[in-house]
Amino acid sequence: MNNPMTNKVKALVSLSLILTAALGSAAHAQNPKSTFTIVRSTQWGAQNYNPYVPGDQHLLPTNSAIYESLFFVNSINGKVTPVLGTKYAWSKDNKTLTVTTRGGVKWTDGQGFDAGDAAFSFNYLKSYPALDTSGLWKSGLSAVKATNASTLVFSFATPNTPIFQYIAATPIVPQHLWKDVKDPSTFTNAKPVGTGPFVADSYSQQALRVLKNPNYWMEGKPSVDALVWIATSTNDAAQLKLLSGEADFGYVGISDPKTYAAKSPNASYWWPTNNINFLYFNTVKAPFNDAGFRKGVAAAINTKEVADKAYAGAVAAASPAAVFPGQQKEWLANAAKSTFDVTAADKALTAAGYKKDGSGNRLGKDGKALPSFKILVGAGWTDFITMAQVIGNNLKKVGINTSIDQQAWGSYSGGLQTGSYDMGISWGWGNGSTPYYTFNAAFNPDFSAPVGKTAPSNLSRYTNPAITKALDTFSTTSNAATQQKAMTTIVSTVMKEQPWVPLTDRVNFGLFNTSKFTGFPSAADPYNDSSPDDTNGARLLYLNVKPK
Amino acid sequence: MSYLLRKLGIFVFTLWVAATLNFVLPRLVPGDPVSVMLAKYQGRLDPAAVDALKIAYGLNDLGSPVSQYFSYLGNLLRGDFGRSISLFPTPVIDVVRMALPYTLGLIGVTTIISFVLGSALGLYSGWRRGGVVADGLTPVALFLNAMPYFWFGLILLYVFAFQLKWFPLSGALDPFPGDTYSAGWWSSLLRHAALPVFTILVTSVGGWLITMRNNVINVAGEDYLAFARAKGLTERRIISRYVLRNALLPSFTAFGMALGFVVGGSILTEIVFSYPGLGFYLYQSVTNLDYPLMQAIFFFIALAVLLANLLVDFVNVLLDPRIREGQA
Repeated sequence: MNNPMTNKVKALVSLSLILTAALGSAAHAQNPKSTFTIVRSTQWGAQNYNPYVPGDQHLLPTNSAIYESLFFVNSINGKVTPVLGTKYAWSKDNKTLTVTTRGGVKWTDGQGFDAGDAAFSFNYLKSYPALDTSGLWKSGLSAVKATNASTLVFSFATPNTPIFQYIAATPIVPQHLWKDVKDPSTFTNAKPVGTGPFVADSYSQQALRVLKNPNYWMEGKPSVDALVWIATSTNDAAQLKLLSGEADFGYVGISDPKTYAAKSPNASYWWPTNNINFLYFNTVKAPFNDAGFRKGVAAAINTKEVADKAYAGAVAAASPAAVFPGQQKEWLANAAKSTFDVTAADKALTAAGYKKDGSGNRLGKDGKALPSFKILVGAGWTDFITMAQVIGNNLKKVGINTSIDQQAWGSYSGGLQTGSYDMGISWGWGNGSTPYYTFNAAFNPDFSAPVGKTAPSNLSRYTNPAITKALDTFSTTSNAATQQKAMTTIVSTVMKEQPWVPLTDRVNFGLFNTSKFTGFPSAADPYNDSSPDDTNGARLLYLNVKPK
Repeated sequence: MSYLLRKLGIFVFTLWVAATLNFVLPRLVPGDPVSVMLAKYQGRLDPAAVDALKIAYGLNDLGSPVSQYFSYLGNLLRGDFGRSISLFPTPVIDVVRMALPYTLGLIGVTTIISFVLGSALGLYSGWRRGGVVADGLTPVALFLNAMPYFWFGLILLYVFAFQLKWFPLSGALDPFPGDTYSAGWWSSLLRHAALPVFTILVTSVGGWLITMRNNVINVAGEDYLAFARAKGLTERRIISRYVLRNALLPSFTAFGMALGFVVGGSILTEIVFSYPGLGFYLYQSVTNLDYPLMQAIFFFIALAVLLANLLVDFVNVLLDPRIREGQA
């Protein structure tokens, strides 16, 4: 035991351990010069850099900083920005999509990227349906092939042009590493290799850091040396970090961005519209199964008042046509006017067979008093509760009584999806670069279900052959004029049938602190859609910001 | 001995009941986790994703409730709690392992300090009854104890973290505190813990103080103390051997319970200070309908409370001769 040799060896070992530790911390100490900090109002899970993890727990840098997709499609105006794809074209019959991939791009392990990697990524999703969270292989896609190093060909069994948005956003991974990954839904990808502007650096429960990729294909970019994500548990805490300058950017849905911006000269926000808040009618329940009743109710609601009170003037009332402001020029033949008119609503309801009794309360078609209808909102969601209050007051004026039904997440989404509600306030359960995504999610019979079963997104359970046919026409063509005609049919049918009431715009919640960096997106420079920090739109933000 | 065996039997039975309730209750909540996730994406996820998510989370083929129950019990015995849904694919046990040290460190240590400090002050306050300080402690304790601690925490946060910037606003550590257990890491940990610890201490010391004071006053009236005084025992000996030992018994049972509840964390404190403990994850798992995580955390809470009770029962045998003799 007391062998002097062993002691010497021990001493040597401990000396080398000390040295390694010292060197290690020295390497650790070389701090990046400019760090762009992003705050999140939710905590993330254990270390996992897998960009395909189903659910929202791929560590944030994965999708926005480390991996890249083919294109970025801006949801507010439909503009397409090339990323790993440089151009794309649909064939005449819309059954083939050809994408040209970028040359001269290297993975961060030094190997070259080509169209084969992209083809591999799409086929990988086919072999593991659990990863196919945009349902690419269920929506008509039949094969993806790389015909040469820079050409990628998508073949479709049935044409489906709106799928481009999802193809564009799919992360591309290196074939030479991922071909050996056999359990991708639980694979944690400890050493991510991507083509993106940043490489993974450190992970802890408090902070994530990625460092600049020195060999990034876009010359001179990115301009910051590192991105850091920090987590809080509430929106208020996140807002404080932004105000104090501890964070430069956050995607945080606070209630009043104007007050935030007024608190400091460096605080600013950009909240562009890319969705809409609706009042959904449960059209399988009487009297909401009667379009006449629905129209009367819709005309009695003052959407401007709803928007002003719910968002303190920071968000506008929605277009009655349910088309986002940035897409109206392209998709709306004539501007839709508000139908708000209490007297007309009152008359319309009476004409539809819903008379008033002596005390001004409205009666059903059978002459019995209408019950008090519940308006379903999320528990404690002040914006939706305020909307429900305004709607309640508006409807009171035409003799309809309502009450507010606040439910926690599970019961809220469950109530809407299983059809147990009367009226409910929620966002558009689909949205995208054209109005198609909103209407397809809301009125496609595929996304409906009988009452009691879960309807993925057709919350009002409203279907109409004219709309179904127009949705089909839209999705099977890439011809702008044909699509416009189909969209006009959809918009006018929905406005006539009124299965919902578009209430207010719904926005992306980009909050900025501009004290240290320039180059944030804005209405004047909408290079992204004020995207959430973990989406591929945020990559453009990280490429555009420069230290002051 | 039969007393201990009986207690052990009750422990095992209660644990089984807790585990069963733990299986049933989450399933009574309306809605399913995949719908919640789809809703949370607020339109960013295609409805077609539902199928993919169901396959990924193993929700596409659940089997009958009975077979689910037995495989649940089996996994429980093996310590396999499955994978978290809200933090997919992190195994639940990893989430617990990540959060438990923070909760034990913050709430556990604070509970012990609070108990010792409160009981000491209570002893002083009860023993020196009639003195200005001793009697003044009671209303102060009642006032602090009645104060909602999340509200007190928010005020501390506003004044000391936001206005004065003496302490960090949230979290358990700085983003880059240095190597684990280095000096910088410790100072970061303590600075982050300062406000939550202070909040819990200030609002919980009062409870221990009042309980202890009442016990001491009760004991002080006992004949054996008069006898002890008559024998001429020193003050110190009377307090340590006769007053403290008797007055501490009721408090001790409550303390055992409190230690058990430590594992559940202090949900409100952890949310106010964004402290990543178990209470914080419990709240998250409930809002996300994350059954596996919810079940694991509830199970650990039940286990800790039951174990703490069992421990108190055992220790009481040592402390209280009446139980030993089988009179209680």
